[in-house]
Order: sequence, then structure tokens, then C-alpha cells
Amino acid sequence: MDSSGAVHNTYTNSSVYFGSKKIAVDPQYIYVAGGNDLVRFTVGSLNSGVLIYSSRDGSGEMSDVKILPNGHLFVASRFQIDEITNTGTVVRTVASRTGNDLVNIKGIEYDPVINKLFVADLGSLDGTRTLFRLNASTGAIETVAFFFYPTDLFLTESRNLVVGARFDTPRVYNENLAFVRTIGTAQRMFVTQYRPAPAPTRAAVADFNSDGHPDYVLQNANTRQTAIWYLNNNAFIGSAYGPTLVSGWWLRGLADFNRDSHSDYALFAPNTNQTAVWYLSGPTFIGSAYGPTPPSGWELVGTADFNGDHYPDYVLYNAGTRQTAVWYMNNNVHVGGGYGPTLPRGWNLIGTADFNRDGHPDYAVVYSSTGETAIGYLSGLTLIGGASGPTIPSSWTLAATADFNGDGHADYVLYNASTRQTAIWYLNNNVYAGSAYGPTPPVGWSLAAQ
Amino acid sequence: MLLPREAANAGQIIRLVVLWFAIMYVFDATDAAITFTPGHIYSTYTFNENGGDPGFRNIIEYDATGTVLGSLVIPSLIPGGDELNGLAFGPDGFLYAVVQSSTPGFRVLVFGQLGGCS
Repeated sequence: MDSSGAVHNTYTNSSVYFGSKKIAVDPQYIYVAGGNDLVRFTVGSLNSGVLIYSSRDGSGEMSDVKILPNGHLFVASRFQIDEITNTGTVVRTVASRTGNDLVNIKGIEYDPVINKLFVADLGSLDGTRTLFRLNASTGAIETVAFFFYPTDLFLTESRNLVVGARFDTPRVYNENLAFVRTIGTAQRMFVTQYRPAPAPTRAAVADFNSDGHPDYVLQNANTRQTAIWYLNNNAFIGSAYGPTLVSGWWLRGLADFNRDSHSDYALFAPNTNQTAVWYLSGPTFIGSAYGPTPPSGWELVGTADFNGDHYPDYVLYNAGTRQTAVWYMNNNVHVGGGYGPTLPRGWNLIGTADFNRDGHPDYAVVYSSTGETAIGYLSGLTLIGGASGPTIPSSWTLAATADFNGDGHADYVLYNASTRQTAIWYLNNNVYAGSAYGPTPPVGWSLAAQ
Repeated sequence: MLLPREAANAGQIIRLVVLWFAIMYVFDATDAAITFTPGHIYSTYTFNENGGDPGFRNIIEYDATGTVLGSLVIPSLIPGGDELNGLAFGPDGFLYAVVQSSTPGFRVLVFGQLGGCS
């Protein structure tokens, strides 16, 4: 929001829906729960609201909606919580009024990490319980607490619950429903937190020792020293230190820019938008040259040969418009280019590799909050098709793409930033065909290039 | 015993005090600009009565500890008609907020960062 509170878009629905309304948003849809109904809009289509679900408990009250990692929804009506698909088909009833509990549900929240469902209820019939933690698989009540007239729940990035209330200041509770603190000094019913999607993790992989197998480039977060870990498929076979990056510059790609058969570093300085190529012979720095500077709003996110001239090209991305572009390069000189496809909302470009073996690099993209992946097949810069890839498990990220097992198909490199563990997911085009752990960088070192 | 005029004054003072505390309790913050900052918390309030009070048309920003940083009445909302309901950030970084009004239906407003668009 800018300082004037200017509205940039307005979705409208003229049907009559009484009562307070809750909202949930994913890259494709906006869901509004209120009255007796759940209405779904398509993002970007302002008059697209359609009724996809109505409460099934006879109460005529729909109180909340939350989006699950698999795209399904938890929807709460007065006495019941259902899991439904994003088209409104009922998958199961998760929980419903049990004796004196869940008698007037006002809000729900879900933590997929511990598979717990949290419920704000106007109160048990004996007046002692309004906050509930449920087992999301069985619906069993595990923990209860009391907070007068809770109306909304939101799980923060520190995995506490912010609870809005009609007659009291919002409060923070931990996941055991123990009180932590109050929020502000006035009653506020609806709450949320700004949690921007984390920047995508992109790793740098390329064949440095010319054995036909891609290798890892590691980086020390404190010293900015780089190191090459030579791999045979997923197995560590040796290492060497590479050059130390200059402050303010980040490694954004590995490719042979000067065609000396050695991989070089493509660097990007976000503060100036400048690019540079560091020429290497094996792991040894042998020279450098500035490359072209992308316009403001654009950044260098990868390298691949898109025009078949055997020189690697720059892949650029504009986060504001989600547009991609390719700058054709002759070594470090910009010689042409064009726009590539625009990414769907919420998706990040992680790697470029030829997945369908048509001789053209394709895009590997990930939707970070769910781990879903997809391949965008390109012919040059033209998107000619797409296919879903395997979904990355939570705690892991898709970090790079390259052919590790030499079958001619690009594979996924997965990275767990908490444990620094790496893994290879072998693909046949877009289809998962197996996996193996790769080596784990030592403490202080990371596979991530940015 | 208070004279009629003194009683009237006292009643007025009491009403002013009550109104003052009511305003303090509902508003919570000065109407300063707010920003989208990672980790910060945002809230809205409604009473389903379409009273049009500014406290039903504003968004309050708090830091992660719960300290109020500012609030902003959305200028395009109609006093006496519009009230903010639930709100959520989308994966695109925009803030989506439901508005109910005295007319049938509802609206979803989309707010962008400074200079942003959708």
C-alpha cells in the first residue's frame, strides 16, 4: 500500500452475503467466506466471483477459509470444518460440533508442519473454552484455552497464533495455546501478517573438471570464498577453492563465456545492476570483463545458450512484471535478445535446461510455498508447452537443474538450507525417476548462490 | 445538589469523557501512513452495523512485538456505508481486504506497495 491507501484493483460480487467475511489468496484464486457461502475469484479477473461451496451444517453461516499446501481448502461453518477441493468438492469432514465444543466457529488456522488445526469459537456451552487445537487428521481436540469472543486466527512466521477479537485487543498464543502477549491497545477482529515469499534459492552447478558430470560451487557466507566440489553423479570425488567474490556481487550463473572449455562465473551486482564475467581455468581465476547492465527492475537470474551460437546468454527477470527476457551474448558482449514468457504469479524461475531433449533450453519453475514444480518448454524464447514436475517436500527447495546421471535428461538439485543436505532427483523429462543424496556442505558453507 | 445548568455541564463532561475513551479505545493509533514490512501485523475491525466509524475503515500496522506503528483510513471507503472485514496478503505481495457495505454484495480491494500495481 502506498501512503495514500490507493486501491490498485477491486474485485466485486453483487450477491447478498451477510455477516463478516474472511479471505484467503493463492497464486490462482481469491477465496471469500461469508454469509452461507464460499466465493472464488480468479486472480486478475475482477468480476469472476463464483459460488463454489455453501455450509453443510444447516447453520447458514460460513466463517473462514484457509488454503492447504496441496491446493485444497479448509472451510469452517458454524458447527463444522470441511476439507474441500478448490472447486468445492467435499473431501472429508475434519471436525464438527462435539458435545459442548465447536458450537459457534468464527475462525480457523492450519499449521501443515505439525498438521494441527486451530479453531476460534465463540465458546463452549459451559463458557470455559474458545480456542482449540485439533489434530487435523482426526479432528480430535488436543488443547483448549479461553479468550473472550475470538474472531480470527493467523499463524505467524515464528509459528505463533495471532488471535483477533471483537471486544478485546488481539492476542498472541503459542501453538500449545499458551498466552504470549497482546497486540496493540484496542479491539480488532481481523488479523494477518506480511510474510513475503522468500527469495528463490538458486544454486550454481556446472562441469568444472570436464568429466561430463556437473559439479557444485559452494560459497562461504562470511568470507565470500567459493569452492568447487567435484562430483561423479551424486558422489563427492574432490574439491578445490575458487575465487573469492567481491562484496556486493553475487554469483548468478556458470557457463563458458570465452569458449575455452572452462566454466566461468556470471556475476550480478543488485545495487548497480551491473554484470561481470570472471573467467576461470578450472577453479582458477584468470581474468574478468564487465557485461551489459540490465535496465532498472531487471536482474540476471541464469545463463544458457538460447540462440544456438554456442555462447551462453543472459536470462533476465523482472519481479514487478514477472516477465523474463534473454540477452544473447557473444562472450561478454550483448548482441541481441528478446522477451521470454511471463511467469505465473507466485512462481519462480530456478533453472534452465533441456528437459524434453529438443535442443532448446527450457524453464524449470517452482511455486515455493507448496513446492510444486513445472517445466515450461521453450523453442528459442517461445513457450510451446508446459508440464507439471514432481513436488518438492517441505524443508527442501529446488535449487538447480542439470544432468547428473548422464542420461541426457536434466535432473533437479534439491537443497535443505537448515541441514545443508543436498539431493538429486533424477527426471525423465518432467517425471520423477529416482533420487540420491548428494554431499552436505560444511558449516558456514552453502550451496546457494544468492 | 447541582443546579440544572451545572448538572447539564457535568453530563456533558461525562459524555465527552466517555466519547474520548471510546475514541481512544477504537482508534488505537494516529492516522499515520503504513507500510508493508516483513513480520509486521495488520488488523481491521467491523461491527456489522455499517456505522461508518473510521475505526471500521482503517488498517492498523503493528511491529512483531505488538506495538502500534500507524493506521490508515482507506480514503475510497464510504463513511457510514463501508466496513473492512478479513484481510490477507497474497503470494504476489499485495494486500487483499474484503469490504462489506450497506448495499448487496461485497468487494475485495487490492493494495500494492509504493509504486506497485497489479
